[in-house]
Amino acid sequence: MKNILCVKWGDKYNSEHVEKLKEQVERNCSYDFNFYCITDKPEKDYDIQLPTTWDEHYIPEKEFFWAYRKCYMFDQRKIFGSKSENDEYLFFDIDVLIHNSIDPLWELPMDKPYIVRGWWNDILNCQKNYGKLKSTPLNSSVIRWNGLQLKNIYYHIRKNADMIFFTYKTIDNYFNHFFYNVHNEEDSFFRGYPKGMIYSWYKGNIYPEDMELKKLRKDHIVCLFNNSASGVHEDMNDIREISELY
Amino acid sequence: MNYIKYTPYNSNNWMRSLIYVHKEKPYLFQRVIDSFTESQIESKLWLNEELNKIQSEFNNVVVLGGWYCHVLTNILIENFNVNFICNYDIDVDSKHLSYKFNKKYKDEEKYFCSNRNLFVVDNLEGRHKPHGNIDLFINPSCEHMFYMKEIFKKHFDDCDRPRPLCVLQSTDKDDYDDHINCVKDPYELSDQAGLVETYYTGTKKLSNGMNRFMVIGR
Repeated sequence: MKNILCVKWGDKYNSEHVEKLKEQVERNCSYDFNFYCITDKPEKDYDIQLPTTWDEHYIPEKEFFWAYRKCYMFDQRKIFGSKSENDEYLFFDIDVLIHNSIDPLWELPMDKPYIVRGWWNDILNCQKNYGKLKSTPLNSSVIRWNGLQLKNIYYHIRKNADMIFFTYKTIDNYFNHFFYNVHNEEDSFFRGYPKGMIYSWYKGNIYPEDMELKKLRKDHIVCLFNNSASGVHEDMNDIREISELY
Repeated sequence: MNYIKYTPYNSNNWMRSLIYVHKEKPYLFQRVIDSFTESQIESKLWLNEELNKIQSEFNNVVVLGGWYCHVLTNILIENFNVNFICNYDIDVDSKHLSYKFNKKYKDEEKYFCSNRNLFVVDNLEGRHKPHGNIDLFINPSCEHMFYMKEIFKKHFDDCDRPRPLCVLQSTDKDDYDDHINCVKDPYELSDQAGLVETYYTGTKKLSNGMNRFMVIGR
């Protein structure tokens, strides 16, 4: 069975944002699928209670956004039970705009799980800054996996929670250090979606040839808005060109 | 003994490394230059001076987060007669370049660099074993990582390995993104490492204005 997931916690997003995501995937997916929102405030039929077992490791003084909550879903048996271990999964951040059919995301060769390889990043810059805990080429706004492909991440976090939560401000930097190889990308645990599928509203599309910011690319599948790590907290619904597309 | 021995082979290895980076890895050139700043050298010479007051020779050394490890390796081998150094640095480029800077020491099997992340792997490199117990542990950049007591617990206390003498440096300068673990003074640095005996505790104002803290202990 195919499952589309999102995760919502705190007050940054509300159930209207989730409904908009649900409408978008229903409009752009020809396969049958279940839709679930893993949330700290279950309200709807598709809502599932967000676990809290890692909250004890949260360090308030660090003021991290703490998107590690997404990672509970990587051992989906903890959320959906043991029957879920053979299912297919596609996760979206709540703040994405879907331009076109997401069917190609279900049709990728799945010898590896997928994460957004931000093609807008200069990989040499990522290599240079590797030790500085910045310039990750990864973005976890869209993740695609089958079965238990990501369970090792869940257990890696569980085993090393204090160190990981202390060290890595974003899960994308954490993934970059432990599940990606910026020096030999083909050798990575994750594979990036091919160029032309996913781009960023705030960062561009492909380095260096297509880097115009705040430009819609309607021939792509997904536009990302996540920019919390850089301190931009603009709601995508406040952007005129975007709200018109809903 | 507050100097480094700039030998003919150091000169050769270091100059060739700089030329290599300039030609083949220009995006790293500024990083390499940054590793030779006045304050970087001051920190290493400070370590050299204070460590020598406590013990003048070592055998089997762990360096954690040693970066290109050029000056520090020189100090340890030339001034402290060290037989084997393993620099644990997760950055692949740092490993590659550290082998260029330390070519002679690497060829003599006195220097090795590992990309293992000691916070998560269960074992140190096996190359330490022929040299007996590890007798010196240096982290010249504690501000970049989690608490050292976790490393000491995992790789020494929990596996019944005697704790080596530890030299730790850090800072209170917290306006860099990658300074994730600044401390207010050397005593906090010592507490974070769980040191039970300290032989040196000090603060040095570096030429770049940064406070550098150092503790030496077990």
